[in-house]
Order: sequence, then structure tokens, then C-alpha cells
Amino acid sequence: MRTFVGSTPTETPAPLMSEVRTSAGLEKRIIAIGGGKGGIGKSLLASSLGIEFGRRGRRVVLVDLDLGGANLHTCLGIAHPEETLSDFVGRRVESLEQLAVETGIANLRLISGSLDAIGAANPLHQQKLRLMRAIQGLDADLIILDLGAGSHFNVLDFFLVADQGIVTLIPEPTSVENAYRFVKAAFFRRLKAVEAVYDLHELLAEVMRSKRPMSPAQLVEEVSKKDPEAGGRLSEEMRAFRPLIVVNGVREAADLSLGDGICTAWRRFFGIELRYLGYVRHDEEAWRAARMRRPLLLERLEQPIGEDLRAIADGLQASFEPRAEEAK
Amino acid sequence: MSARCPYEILEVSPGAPFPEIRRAYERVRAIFGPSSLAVYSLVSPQEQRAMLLEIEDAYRILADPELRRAHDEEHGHPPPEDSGAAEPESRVEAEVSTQPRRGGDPELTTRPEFTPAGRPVATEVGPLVEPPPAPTESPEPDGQAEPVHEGDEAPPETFRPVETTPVEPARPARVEARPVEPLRPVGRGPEPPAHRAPVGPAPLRLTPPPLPQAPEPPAQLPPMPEIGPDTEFTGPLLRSIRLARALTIQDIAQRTKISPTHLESIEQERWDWLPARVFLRGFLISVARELGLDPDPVCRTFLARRERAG
Repeated sequence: MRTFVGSTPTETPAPLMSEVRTSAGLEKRIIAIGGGKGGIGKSLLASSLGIEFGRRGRRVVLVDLDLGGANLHTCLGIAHPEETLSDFVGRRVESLEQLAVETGIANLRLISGSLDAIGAANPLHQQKLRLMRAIQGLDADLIILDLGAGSHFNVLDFFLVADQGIVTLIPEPTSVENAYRFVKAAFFRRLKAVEAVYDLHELLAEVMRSKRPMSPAQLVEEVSKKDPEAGGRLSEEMRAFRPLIVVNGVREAADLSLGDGICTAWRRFFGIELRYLGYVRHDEEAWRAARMRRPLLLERLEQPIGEDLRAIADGLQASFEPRAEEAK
Repeated sequence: MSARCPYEILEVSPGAPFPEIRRAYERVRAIFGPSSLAVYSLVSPQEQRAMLLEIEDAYRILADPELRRAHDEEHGHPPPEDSGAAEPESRVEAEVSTQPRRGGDPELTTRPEFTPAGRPVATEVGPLVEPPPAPTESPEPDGQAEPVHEGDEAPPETFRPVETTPVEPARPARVEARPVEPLRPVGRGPEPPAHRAPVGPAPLRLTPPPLPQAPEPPAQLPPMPEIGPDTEFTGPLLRSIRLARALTIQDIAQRTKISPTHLESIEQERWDWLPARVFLRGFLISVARELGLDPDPVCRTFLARRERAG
């Protein structure tokens, strides 16, 4: 797991948790799904991945972190859980495990995020840290965080605390724009964390003052000139920033090249490697499942949309397995 | 800027045979093209144009057997696998597949190509390709301001593209040595069903006659021609309007689903290559819409020209 960032530069990052093994012997994984905009299929993807990995025998906990508009329970076709994250944040419940309700789907539990208290969508820093630690401590093989809309740093911090961040978007300019804003904001949030961990604040500030705007790649270059060791660390940390891209709501053949195009454009312009995880075709019949309050994946398992969602699970699973080249 | 390797720019390996080069060129050109969603709000129009220029220049070198050989020798690249003869005109057009890969990262996904609704691609062009009626969803990068950053975190001025290329870079001299048509459209496999009707007087339309054309410069947009109530819409005029709108044949082909060959034949006024009047009329209406023109006068004057040409 990665270090995560505090709300202010002076905050100390949470302790690194590595080599966490779960009872099943699998390395515990946290996935976060964000994208900066509502209505782009975040909850659909979160619930579907939860269901699919549950079917594959992993013990999954879905955490609905869309604190202002949580509705993952509806995507799963269950009633709104009585106890939610607001009870944990408000300390009415001490353990996050208590909040995880069974969903009626094998191996899948849900922690609902509906928060009733006004302003609860943005918990205080200490509350956020406590929540993050509790999430990391959940007894599960796979924890999926369904993030809220927007690029607020509270959303970004949950995105960055995950082992794997997924950014969803649909092939529309507004969605692409928001997704880009989200990734940029996440990148800088991460940079701040790196600053704090390696005490690079002075160096980075100096580099940024000295020259006009620069790309991340140029930033590394400039830092390396002043301090090769710090440059190397920075470059390594930046390489580790590799959000996955999922294109939802694909309607025409031209949409298929969007994911590849996005990754290419980011690499070319910014030197940042995004990875294209896959696409999900638009499903005209999806509303039926929604109206029956049935999980879409289970209703449409053999349809194109089900095929696509399962393919994304395949891709994700492949990325869990440590690769030989990365081990080097 | 021209210091970068053309193979790198097109993301193709040295030694790749020509069709692969062309596919690679079309791929990156679509990504950085004016109507691309992938670069929407990402960088300034100038940066986008500079990238396009770089791509065009790279293709000019690699599409030209002599320039390519010179480059390969200079940089110690292996010769192309197809003995180095880049002959775009004699290549089988259908070889070029525009089916995108499923995922950019082969490690992540190994699924077969896109099959809409689970059926083979070839049978399913219809419902998939129908573009939305109004072309208003197309982002107009030229009209966009710099990407706005509202995040409470990242200062926008520190997030700039890798390249700090000049806005209107001078073209390298070697490019002018032997211009090739950089935007020559390429067949896209089987024709969409919309055009499967018998195509006019030209049953064989595998390869149109070579066109010794000047290259289309995508960087400096030519001025928009004046259009009045009595304007006669000739092929060259339609071409000028298209260029003034910074659209490629590929852009139009993609949106109208009219084959690039037909579009080119319209612009070249290759009457013999064009389909029967009723089909041509349909094509003209679609093209006029894409160019933001009133379809009526376009059809009337262009079809009249064809009548006169016999």
C-alpha cells in the first residue's frame, strides 16, 4: 500500500503498510474508483467488480465513499443499511467491521456511506485519517472504494491511498475534461506526499521558482540536476503513479480508440503513464435492471456489458499479479 | 523538435513495413487531430498543432522510400521488412485495419476485438456507426481557452506539456525536398452497408489513379473561401472549405461513413469514379453538413457540374 497524503503539507503521512497478507493468503488490495464527475458509471463499475471478484472467491468489501450521495446499496439491490460511515465518523460505532453488511451476494459485503449530518461529505482531517486506517485494517482480500464526484482533496486522498486507482469517464467532452482535471489534481497531491516523505519540499519549491511552467518529466530532470539522488526517487515515485482508465458508455466504434488515445496523449504531453484497462459498452436495457433494483452485472452477465465488465475484472486481476519485469 | 525520431513519433518500430507505418500514422493522427476527444482540454490548440506537425513530418519521412532510407542509414536502423519499397498506391487497401486494440496495455487485457452486441464486426456496422444527427458534440479545440484548473490543489501553471515547441515551427528543409501527399486516405476494410448498392459506372475501385497533389498543410489554416448565394461548389472549393475547417478526409469519412475514396473523388471531380446520381446526392448532403454548408446549393451546383461533364 502506498503512503497517503495529509490535508496540509505539514501533516505526516500514514505509516506504510506493506506485505499485508489476508487469511486466504492473498495480498490485500485496495482499489479506488474515481473520475471527477457524476453519472459516469463509477458505482456501476464498483458494484460489478465487487460482484465479479466475489464470484471468483475473493472476500470483497465495497466501501461507498460518495459521502454526499451514496447509493451503492441501490446498485446492489439491497435496502439502505441502518448504520453507515457517519456512525463511524461520529464515533457511534467503533469498528468499521460492524458496518459491513452482507449483500446477499457471495463473498460481498457493503459499507454504506450515506451521511446525514450536514457537512459530513468533507470529514475533518483526523476523522479522515481514522477512516483510512480502519479501511486498511478491514478483514478482506479486496476492498473497493467508490469515490464521490469532484476533485476535492478528500476524494483524492482516498484515491491515492489505494493500491490501484481507476479513473472512469464516458466519451463526452465534459467527462473527459473532468477526468483530466481529476488526474492532474491527483498527481499533484501525490507529488506533495513525495515531498513530505523525502523532504523534497525546499528543492521542489526552488526548482519551480526558477523556471517557467514545466511538465512532470522536466521537473524530474531539473531536480536531478540539483540532486541526482532526489531526482531518482522523484522519478521512481512518478512512475508509480499509473491510474487505470476505463471508458464507460461506449456507443460507437470511434469510442473504442479513446482509451488508447488518452494514454498516448498523456505520455506524449506530460510523460505520465496511464493504463487503459478497458471499455464498457452502453446497454440500452440497463434501466430495466435498475428499475427492478437488481445488480446490473447479474442481470446482464451474458450481454455485451457483462462481458466488458468481466473483461475489466480480468485485466485488474492480471495487474494484481506481480510482474517479472517489475520485480527487477 | 525535428530532432525526435520519426519512428518514436509514430510509435512504430524501425524496420516496420509500410502498411504498418501508415496504420501507426493514422492512429496518432487521429489521437492528436482537431476533432479528437482524447486531447480535449488537455493542452492548448498551439501545442496540439505542433504535435500534429511533428506527426506529419515524421510520416513524410517514413512514407518516402528515399528519405526513409537516408534516415535509417544515418541512425543505423534496419531496412524495412518489406525490402524498403514504400508503395502506397499498390498496397491492398483492405490490409489496413482500423480496429483499435482493446486496451492500450497488452499486459492488462487480451480480449478480442470489439464486437458490438457480441456479434462480428462486419455485420454490425449499421447501428454502431450512425453518428449523432447534429455535429455539435464535436469539440472545437481552436475555440478552447487554456485548460482551466479549478482544483484547490494543483497550480495550473506548473503542469505543462513535455514539449516546449514553438507555436508555429518552421518546417525542416528536407521535408520540402520531395513532398508526398500526407493525408492520403486509406480504405477502411469492407464498405459500410450504406454504400453496398452498386456503385455507378466504376465497378473496380480498388485503387484510384495516383494523385500528384501538393501536401495538405494542417498547421497554418488556409483562409475560408467566400461563399455567396451564387457560389458554384466545385470539388476544389469543397476541399478548400474542408482545409479551412482543419478537417482531414479521414475526419469526414469517419463521421459520414462515406469511404475516403469517394470523398476524394468528389474533391478531385473524378466523375468516372463517382457513384450514380442518387447516391452521390446523399454523399453531398452529408459532406455539406459536415462542412457547415447548406446542402441544397452544394447538391444543385455540384450535380450540375457533373451533368455538364457528361
